[in-house]
Amino acid sequence: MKVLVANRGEIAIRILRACRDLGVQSVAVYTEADRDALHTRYADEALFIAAPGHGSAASYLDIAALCDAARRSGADAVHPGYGFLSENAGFARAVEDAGMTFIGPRPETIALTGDKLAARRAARDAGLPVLPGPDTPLTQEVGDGQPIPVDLAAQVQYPVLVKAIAGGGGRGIRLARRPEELAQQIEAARKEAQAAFGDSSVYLEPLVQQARHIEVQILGDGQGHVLCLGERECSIQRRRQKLIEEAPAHGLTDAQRAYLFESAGKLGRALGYRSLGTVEFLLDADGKFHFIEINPRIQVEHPVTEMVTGLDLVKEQLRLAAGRPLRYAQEYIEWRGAAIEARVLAEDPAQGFMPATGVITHLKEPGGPGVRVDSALYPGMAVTANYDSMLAKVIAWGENRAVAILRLRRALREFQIGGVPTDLEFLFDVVDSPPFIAGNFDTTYLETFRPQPQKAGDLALERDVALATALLAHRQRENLRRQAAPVSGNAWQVAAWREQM
Amino acid sequence: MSNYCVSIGEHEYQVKVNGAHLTLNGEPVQFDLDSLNGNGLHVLRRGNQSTELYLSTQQRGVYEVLVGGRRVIARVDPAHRRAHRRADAIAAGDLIAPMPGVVIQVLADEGDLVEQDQVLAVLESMKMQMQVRAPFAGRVRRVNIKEGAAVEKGALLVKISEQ
Repeated sequence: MKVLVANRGEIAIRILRACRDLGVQSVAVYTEADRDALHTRYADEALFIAAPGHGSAASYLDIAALCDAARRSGADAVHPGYGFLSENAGFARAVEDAGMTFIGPRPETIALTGDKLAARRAARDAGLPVLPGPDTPLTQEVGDGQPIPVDLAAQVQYPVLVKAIAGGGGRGIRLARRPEELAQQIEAARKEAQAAFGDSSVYLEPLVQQARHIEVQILGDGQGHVLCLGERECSIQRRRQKLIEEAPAHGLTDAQRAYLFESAGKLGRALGYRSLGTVEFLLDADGKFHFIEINPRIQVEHPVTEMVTGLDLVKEQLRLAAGRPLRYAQEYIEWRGAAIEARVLAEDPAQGFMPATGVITHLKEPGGPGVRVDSALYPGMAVTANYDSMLAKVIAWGENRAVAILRLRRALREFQIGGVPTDLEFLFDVVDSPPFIAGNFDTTYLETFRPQPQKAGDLALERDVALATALLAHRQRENLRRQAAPVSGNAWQVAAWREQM
Repeated sequence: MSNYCVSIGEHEYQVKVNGAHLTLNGEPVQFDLDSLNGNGLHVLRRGNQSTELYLSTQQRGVYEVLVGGRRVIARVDPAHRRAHRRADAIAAGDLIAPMPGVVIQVLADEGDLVEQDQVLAVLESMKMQMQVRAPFAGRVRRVNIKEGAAVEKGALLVKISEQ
């Protein structure tokens, strides 16, 4: 088997690593902006993909260019990773039409999961609990500057979410708390959905308050056999983007867990699910689950499942794609301990956590017992606005949740990234906060979370920083003085020296 | 002997360097700093304590410091020169792009009267949208952007002035 990885960044490295472990030949692709990226060096081969008519950064979205690269390299399978074309049924179909294996669900499954209302119908038909609401999108006139039709207005329960049918990655979702806000939020959601997905269709779904986000990892062989690899809790989110994820979800009863696994398995079998997938649920304050959607791809947070099951999910995907049967029976799957993942993002806490750019000038990744880092960082790497702001993932495992938290705290403190501001300190503060440690949080936790402004040891640390920077500035000045002194006759150098002083 | 004023956030520290002798806010301190790789990695030694630091110059007199899981920005000025801070462009009504991105929406026209905190434009960068708001009530003097256009960090987006 020879696998082309149609992605970049840490997930490309993750997939390429599984290829190496299996002794499978690998092919990376890259754009102009990614000429020096780590994944190009990690793969056996790397092909440049240029998409005519697009900004070159968009080439990871160019189906024709990717299929062409796969053909040229002689690859017989394509792994899409997450993001980019991973949820694009047309891409999966194009790969299969070209006679290659798409490492993921069948194109029909991807198409179904991409239509949030179709996915809801499939889940309801399979007997899963689905939130109430019509199975049809709002008509196009609604949210077009017109008032909300009276019959619709009478049905809506507030607060309500306006969600894009083609949604994904937390985009195209808006919240209306009161009737006065509905028209405006529909319009905003439509605009964002049109820009992100090229489809402005939206539907309404009641907001589940004090909800926890809990999802189940499934792995299917496409022949009706579906393994359930356990749940993950992803309630720590900001702007609807997951930030910290863990497995297992703390505090679930055996009955709740059994119900969750049974539901996910039923849906997987009903779809004849192939490869990796995630069935997402909300858990409400009354302990009831509500299906939200299926993600037909590997997830950013898959390592926490790998840490507690001991399985390599990408390796299992590759084996299935090579035509092997599922290796395990459900009884074989066991869960040990707890794992927590934190997403390290390039963003500036001093600027309201806005995405930041720059060059990585220094890098020291954490290590030690129970710690895993998935990243594509290297010193000298440019962090640009072309792609997602995620730099790395730090995952910690422990024999229980408390140990996993201690190890994650240690790892976040060890991680040194120079040149670009990151959320590392914020992640530490969240993981260190009493409600997080107690497992007492829901998806709104970060909306009100504020780190302690001043911590013990801050002033001692500041004094060290003051001394070190003053001493460094002093040495730099002395060096310049020494260098400039013998050539004092040269007007340019004297001017430069004065400038430095 | 050289004197330095170091600003970290709201705090200021006075450091005196005299050969191997150092004082911090007038107090003598035992302190040694060794470069480990010539590339920013240092070890700070004090008594029986060794601390790892990464120090890099961001721009003249401004240092990025990684220590103990924290990232600190410190500004060092020779004490004889007053620390002169850049006038706050935003406070003057020049709304500049905080980072490179794409203009998603332009919500103001030249000549518009706007209220404080009114959203004037929406930018997107790295999957994230951010709103550009009026820092005070006033009139829009200039709109430098179009929807769909790419902007560089620091580019002037909208200029407003008080009425």
